[in-house]
Amino acid sequence: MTEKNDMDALLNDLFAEAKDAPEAQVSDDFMARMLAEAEAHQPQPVAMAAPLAERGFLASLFETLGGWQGTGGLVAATMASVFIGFSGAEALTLDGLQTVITGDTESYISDLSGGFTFSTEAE
Amino acid sequence: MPRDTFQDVSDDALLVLYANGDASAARALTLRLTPKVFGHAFRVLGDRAEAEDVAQEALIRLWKQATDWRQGEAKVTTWLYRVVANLCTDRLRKGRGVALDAIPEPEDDAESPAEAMQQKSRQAALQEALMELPDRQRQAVVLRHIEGMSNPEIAQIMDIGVEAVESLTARGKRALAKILAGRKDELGYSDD
Repeated sequence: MTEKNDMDALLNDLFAEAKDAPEAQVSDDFMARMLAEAEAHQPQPVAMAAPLAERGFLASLFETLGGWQGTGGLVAATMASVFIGFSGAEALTLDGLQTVITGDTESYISDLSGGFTFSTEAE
Repeated sequence: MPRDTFQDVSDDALLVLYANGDASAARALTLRLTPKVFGHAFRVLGDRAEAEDVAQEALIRLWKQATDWRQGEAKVTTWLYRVVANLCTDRLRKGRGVALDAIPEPEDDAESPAEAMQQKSRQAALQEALMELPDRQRQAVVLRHIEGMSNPEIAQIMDIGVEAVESLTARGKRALAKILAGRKDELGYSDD
């Protein structure tokens, strides 16, 4: 074995031993201090929002519907439905709407039923 | 000493847990990182008390950085070793580290190398030899050969190019071989 290889082997052994060398290990006292330091500098956990169950049924429902905007839209749609229910469904048909807008406007409805048939010249 | 119960969890993830106030993550990270930073600081500075100061300072900086830590940008260990390397360099520049004058030279008249070496362990001999290297060479050799890091990682830690790392580690290893060549017998490497 050459001198260089001898020294490489020696150094590699020393490096390998160095990884676990007692003098480079942390003492228990120092580790205890470091654990205390880590705890002392640790940010405190952020307070989480209260669970839904603790906030009451109405508050939970209000949030589930999307807050003021969502609930407002839902209320408006509900009131519109109630109005339509009271005023009758006729006003919503095409005829009904035309009557509302133009008063005595005549309406023409094509009746395609009955005896109307298609015929072909080839017949 | 307590064991790391988060063995499969990355340093990054643990640091996020730490920032969220998870006490067990604080414990796991401390158990995992303290030996690394202390070991490196000790090898570079050659003094346990100095190494403890540096390790403590580096870890405090990490804890303070935790809430602003951006995952995936840098490895926690790379960032931490960089802080340790800089703190060590500062101390060595200020002459606070154990300098060469604290370690007997092999040529010292008061004691023959053989007598001195007989009283020292192989690791003490390695540490003495390391302390004879220039600071940057010593840091690079310790990171490469004792911490087992890759050259690109060392380049990031030391803020130099990969080629410069290769040059530092090669020259450092050659210098160590030269320093220790005359002590082979005492280190248990006789030629027979």
